Amino acid sequence: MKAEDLYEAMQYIRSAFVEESEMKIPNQGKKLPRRILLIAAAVAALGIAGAAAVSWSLRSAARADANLREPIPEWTEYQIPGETAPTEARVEPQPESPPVKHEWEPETGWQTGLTLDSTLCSGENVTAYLRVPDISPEIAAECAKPRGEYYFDIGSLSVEPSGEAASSNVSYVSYDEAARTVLLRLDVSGTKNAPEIKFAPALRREDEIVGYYSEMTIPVMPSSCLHTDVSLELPRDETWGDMRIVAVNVYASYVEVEQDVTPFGEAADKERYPDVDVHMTEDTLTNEWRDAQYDYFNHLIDGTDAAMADASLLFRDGSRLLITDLPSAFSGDWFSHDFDGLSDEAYCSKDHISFCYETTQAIDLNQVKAITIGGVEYPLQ
Amino acid sequence: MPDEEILALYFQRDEAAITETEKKYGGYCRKIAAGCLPQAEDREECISDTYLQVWNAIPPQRPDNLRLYLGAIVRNLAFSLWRKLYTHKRGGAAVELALDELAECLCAPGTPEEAVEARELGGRLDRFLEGLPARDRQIFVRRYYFTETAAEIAPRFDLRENTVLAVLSRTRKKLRVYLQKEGYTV
Repeated sequence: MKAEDLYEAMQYIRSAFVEESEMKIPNQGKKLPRRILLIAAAVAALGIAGAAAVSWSLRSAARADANLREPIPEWTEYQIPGETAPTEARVEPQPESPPVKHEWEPETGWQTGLTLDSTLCSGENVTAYLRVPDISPEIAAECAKPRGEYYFDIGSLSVEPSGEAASSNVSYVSYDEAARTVLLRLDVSGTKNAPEIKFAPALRREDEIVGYYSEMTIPVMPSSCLHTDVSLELPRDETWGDMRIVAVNVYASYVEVEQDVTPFGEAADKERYPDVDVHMTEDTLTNEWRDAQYDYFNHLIDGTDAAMADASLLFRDGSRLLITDLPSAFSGDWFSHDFDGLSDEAYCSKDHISFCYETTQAIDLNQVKAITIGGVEYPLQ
Repeated sequence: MPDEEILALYFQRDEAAITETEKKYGGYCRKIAAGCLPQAEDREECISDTYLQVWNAIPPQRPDNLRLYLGAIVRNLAFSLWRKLYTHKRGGAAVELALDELAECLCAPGTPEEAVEARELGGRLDRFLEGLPARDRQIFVRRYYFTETAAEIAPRFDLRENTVLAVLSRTRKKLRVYLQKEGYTV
């Protein structure tokens, strides 16, 4: 058999698999634990209270999307010009002077600027909800489809002052037909605690850009973190050296696990990968080097998964929540900011890394008391 | 124009069907073709052949999903053209890298005696894909059906590029084990 045979045979896989792969899966079809269902019910109640206000549905949609039940310091809502929200439904704190700057000059004929609705700023992650005006119901309906004819893409984004982020994504959240306004969600991670983000999405029809929006500035608000030192040796894999969890940090939208590890350059298994030269450059990397890299990376992920499989957050009311039960785009996945954009040399020499478990539920840090890992309780401060 | 109306044009033998197909799915088809065909003129030849094949097939066929139907035809034609043009040389197509990766699932180069019936192998792949977590399956399909790069796949799944590469690496290893168990000489 040849690789061509495998590639050709992909032609005959079930069309349902091809169709499935065309859909974007974050935030879809996740089983929510009871705690989250309560949050959803509370948010729905807020939505009913605000039904009479213009575009208030979009504010409710933003809260619901963030799985927000009650105000947390990391959540900031901005005053929308001309919009009055019902007093009983408003989430505090509201900045006295909304720290939002708009640049309203459209770059082309019919486009206008965006309006910042709300943000969830949490460590190095920022989620911003943005309102895009003047969108017809037909275009909005296409944007709402997993692979609709129209969609918003990331357009231009810069994280000031570095200009870069580890990753970013923009997605459709909701539409207010009366206000002809779409609510978008922008997720940026790895912001390196930058003070602001500049962003302008593009509206596309298939592959063609049909709408540009003027750039807006999203302020990154201060956020809190709970921390605990940990000393937990992970089961040793002879192949790839040692791993030890040394600290856990809990932010409003992710849990970060810090580890000391044997650097790739020292751990590289010379028996299995005799030709791996850790000083190779991007231009001279071999398949073998990449195999070794993936093996090493998978070893780190698997080790972390195994150690954190039973980890749970302990709340002040006595309830517990398995971290793997927190709603995330992909439950059980751990991501590292550390390896993105690193040169190979830097990658090889790293002896301290952190994995982040990103959630789609805003965690109220005031309610979190401790974290348990492997049956040991670590108080969080 | 909705797919039902485009299909109605095909059934009426109205050539506007081709125009409307191009308008709605031209970009989609070109993106799939680009995975195998780096040269624009080759892609255009492939797209023209795709439309001709669709014109000849509908009617009597009436695809449930026109987008997927077009995608399958254009992928097949693009890969055939790539084989004709580039089998014995590197042409800079994205598919070459995808094939290098898939070769990791195999130990020995194929021989004529080991010729594999693609449709049957497709059925085996179906069963392999069934057993994968949904996300890993979708990433695998994006890479080896649509020939997208890890950089293109990552934002679709809110993942980082490294994570996509790691998922693909793990899935290829699983596929290798699976094919061995199924009796393929890999």
